[in-house]
Amino acid sequence: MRLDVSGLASGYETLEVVRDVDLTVGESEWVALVGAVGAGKTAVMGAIAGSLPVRRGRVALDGVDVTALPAHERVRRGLTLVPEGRRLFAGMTVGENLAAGASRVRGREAKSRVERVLELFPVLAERRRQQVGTLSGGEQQMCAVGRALMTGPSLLLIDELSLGLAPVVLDGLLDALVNVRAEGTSLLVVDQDVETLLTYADRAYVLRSGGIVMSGIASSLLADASFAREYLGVP
Amino acid sequence: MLAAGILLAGPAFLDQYWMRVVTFALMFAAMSAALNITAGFIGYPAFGDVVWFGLGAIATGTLMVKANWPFVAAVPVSVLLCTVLSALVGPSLLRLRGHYFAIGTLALNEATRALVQNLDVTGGGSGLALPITTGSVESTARFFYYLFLGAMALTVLVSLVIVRTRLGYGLRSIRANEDAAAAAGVNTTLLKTIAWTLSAALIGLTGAIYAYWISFIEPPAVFDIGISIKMFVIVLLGGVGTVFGPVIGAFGIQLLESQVWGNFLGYNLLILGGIVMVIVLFLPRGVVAFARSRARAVAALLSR
Amino acid sequence: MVYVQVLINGLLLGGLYACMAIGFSVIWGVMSIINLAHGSMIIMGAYITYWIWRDYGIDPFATIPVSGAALFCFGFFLQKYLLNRIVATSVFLSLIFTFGLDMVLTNVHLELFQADLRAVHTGYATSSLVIGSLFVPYARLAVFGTAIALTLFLMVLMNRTRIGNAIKATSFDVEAAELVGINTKQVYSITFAIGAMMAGIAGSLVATVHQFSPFGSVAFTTKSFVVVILGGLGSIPGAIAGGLVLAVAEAYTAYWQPGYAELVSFGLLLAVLVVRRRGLFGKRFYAEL
Repeated sequence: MRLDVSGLASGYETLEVVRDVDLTVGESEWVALVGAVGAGKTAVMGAIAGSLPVRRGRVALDGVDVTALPAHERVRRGLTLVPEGRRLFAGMTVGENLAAGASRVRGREAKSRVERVLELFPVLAERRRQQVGTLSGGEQQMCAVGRALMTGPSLLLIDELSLGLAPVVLDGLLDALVNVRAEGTSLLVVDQDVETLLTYADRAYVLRSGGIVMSGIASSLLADASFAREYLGVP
Repeated sequence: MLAAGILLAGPAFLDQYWMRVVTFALMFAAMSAALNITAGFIGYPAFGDVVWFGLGAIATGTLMVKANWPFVAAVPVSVLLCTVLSALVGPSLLRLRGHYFAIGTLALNEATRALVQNLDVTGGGSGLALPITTGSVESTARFFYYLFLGAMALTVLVSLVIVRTRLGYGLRSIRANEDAAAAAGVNTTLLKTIAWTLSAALIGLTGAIYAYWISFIEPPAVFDIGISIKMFVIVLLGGVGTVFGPVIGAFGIQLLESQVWGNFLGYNLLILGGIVMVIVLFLPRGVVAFARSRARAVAALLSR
Repeated sequence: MVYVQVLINGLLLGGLYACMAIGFSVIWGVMSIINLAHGSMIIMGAYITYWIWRDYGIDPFATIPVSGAALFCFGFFLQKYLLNRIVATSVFLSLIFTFGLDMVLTNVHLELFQADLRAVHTGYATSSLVIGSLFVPYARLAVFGTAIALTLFLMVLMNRTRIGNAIKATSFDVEAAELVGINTKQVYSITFAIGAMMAGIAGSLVATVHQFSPFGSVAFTTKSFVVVILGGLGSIPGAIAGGLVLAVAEAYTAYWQPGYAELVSFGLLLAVLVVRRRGLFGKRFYAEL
C-alpha cells in the first residue's frame, strides 16, 4: 500500500511539534524515519496513524484521503501502528492480545492469522496463555508486532523497534519484518539504531526539530559523511 | 461591590416569596462555595459532603431541643463538632483518589445518617422540632437572610484567603499533580486535611442555621445525597475552582428551580434532571468560563 | 436453627444483589462511569415485567428477554449519542449527568405508574421447599438461580467472545485498542448496553419477589455501590462474593437489630475502602483508576 503525507503539522495540546512534513512510502517499500530524541518522530507516526490530531496537511492511503478518519478506520483500510512503548493490554494473555488485533474478522480468518504470527514468532506459541506482563522485553515487542499483524496491514508503522532489546532479539524481529515485507506489506520504521535500520530499509527521511531536513536512498545516506557524523556517531 | 450592595439591601424590596428564594440561594451559595474548596481547589470530588450539613443541623437541633441550649451557643459547638470529626476522618479518607474518594465520602454520609437515625437523643427516625423564633414573620425572614448572607460572605472570604496564600498554592499543586507535589516536599496530607476541614466547618455552619430556620428536621432530609449533587451542579455551573462561580451558580439554579417548581409541578424532576444533563453536555466548564470566552469573542469582533 | 434460616435468606437475596451490581460494575470498570441512574434502570426493568404481567398475564420469568432487550437498546443509544460525549473528561461530569438522568427517569416512572408500591403476584409466590424446619421459597430460589446463571453468562461473554475481548482491551488502554482497529466508541456503547441489560434483568427479578416504586432507585444504586466496592471493581466473581457478603451481613444485622442493617453495610463499605481499596477480590480485572 502506498502512503502519501503532505504538509503535515501536528502536536500535543497547545504545542506544535512537527510541521510541513512531506513523505511517501511506496508499494511494499521499507522506509526509515530517523532523527534525534525530540525531533518529532513519534508525533509524525501518531498523526499518520490517527492517534494524534492532524492540524494541517493531508494523509492519504493509495490516493484516498484518510486525514479525518479515526485510528480504527485507518486500521480497517490497512494502516496499523505499533506504538512507542508497545502498549500491550497488560492484564491480558498473549493470546487475548493477539485476538484483540483481529476483533473485526471472523473466526476462521482470525485463526489463520494467529497461525501466521506464531510461525513468525514461535516463542509466542509457548507463551500464549501467559499474561503479557510476564514476558521478556523482546517477547513483548514480538507480541506487539504480532498484534499489529493480526489486523492484516498493508502498511505497518513501527515506532522504536529496538528500544531495550538485545541485538540477537532485534535480528529475529528484523528477519520477521523482511518476511512481512516480502509478502507485500509496506513498512515505515522509526528506530534509534540508525545503522542497523538503514541496512534493511530502502529509503530514509531525516527529521530535525519537527521538519524533514534530508531524505534519500538508505545506502547512499549511510555513505554520506555529514549524515554519518550526525546520526551514526562516526567522527 | 454593586452585587454586595444589592444583597445587603435585599430585604427592603423583596416580598415574602422572593425572600425565601433568595435566602435559599444564599444558603446554597455558602455551601457550594465551601464544597468548592475541596472539589474545586484540590480536585477531590467530596460527593458525600452533605454529611457536614446534616451533622451541623442535627447537632444544633439536638442541643436546642434536648439540652435547651440557645441558638447562639449551639451553632459554634455544632461547627466545632464538624471540624473535629472531619479532621479525624480526613487523613484516612483523603488517601483515596478519584471515584474512590467520592464513594468513601458517600459511605461516610450514609453510615452517619443510619447511625443518627437509630439514636434516640437525636430524635432518631421521627425528627426534631426546634423552638420557634420569636418576632414577626418579616423580622424572622430578615434574620435568616442576613445569617445566610453572613455565612456566604465568610465562605467567600475564606476562599479568597486560601487562593492568595501559600495554602492555595499548595492545593493547586496537588490538583495539578499530587505525586509531583509530594515529591517536591509539599505535605499533601496536611494541606488536603486543612482544606477539607475548613470546607466541612463552613458546610456545618450552614446546616446549623438551616436547622433553626426550617425548625423541623429529620435525618433522611438533611443527609439527602441529592443536596450534595445539587451543590456539585452549582459548582459546575458556576465554574469549578473559581471563587465567585459557586455564588453565581447557586443563584442561577435557585431561580431556575423556583420557576420550575412554581410552573411545572409534577414534572419538576424531569425538567431539573434535564437541565442538569444539558449543563453537563454543553457547559462543562461552567457559565463563568463560557461567558469569558463569549466576551473575548465579542471583544475580538469589535476590535477588528 | 434460626441462624441457618437467616443465612439462607441472606444468600438467596445475595444472588439478586450480585445481579443488580454486575452491570454497574462493568460500566464503571470499563469506562470509569459511575452510573447513578443504575437504580432507575433496574426499576425500569421491574416496571416492564410488572406491566406485561398485569396486562397480559405473562409469568415474570418469561418477561426477562423483553426487559433485557429493552434496556440493552436504551443503554446503547444513551451511550452512543450522549455519554460518549463526556466519557473520559472528568470524574464527576458523568456522575452528575447520570444523576440528572436518574431524576428524569424517576419522573417518567411516576408519570406512567404513579408512586404506589407495586408487586407481581404469582401462584407460586408463597410455596416453599421445606427441609426440616427450614424454608426455601421457590420463587426466591429461582431468582437466585437465574441471577447467578446470568452473572456467570456475562463472565463467559467477557472471557470467551470477540466482543468481550475487545471490551477488556479497551478498558486496559483505549488508545492502543483504537490502534489495533477496535472502534472504541462502539465498544463503549455496547458495554453500556450490556450493563443496562443486566440492570433490566435484575429489575425483572426484583419485581418477581419484592415490592418496588419509582423512589427505590437510590437504594438500588447504593446497594450496587456497596457490592462493587466489597467485591472489587470490575471483577465478576467479586460481584457475586460482594453480593453474598452484603446480603448475609444485612440479614444477620436485621435479625439482631432491625434499624442497623444500613449502618452495617455502609460501615463495611468504609472499612473496605480505607483498609483495602481493591475490595475482597483484590485482583485487577479491568482498568484501575
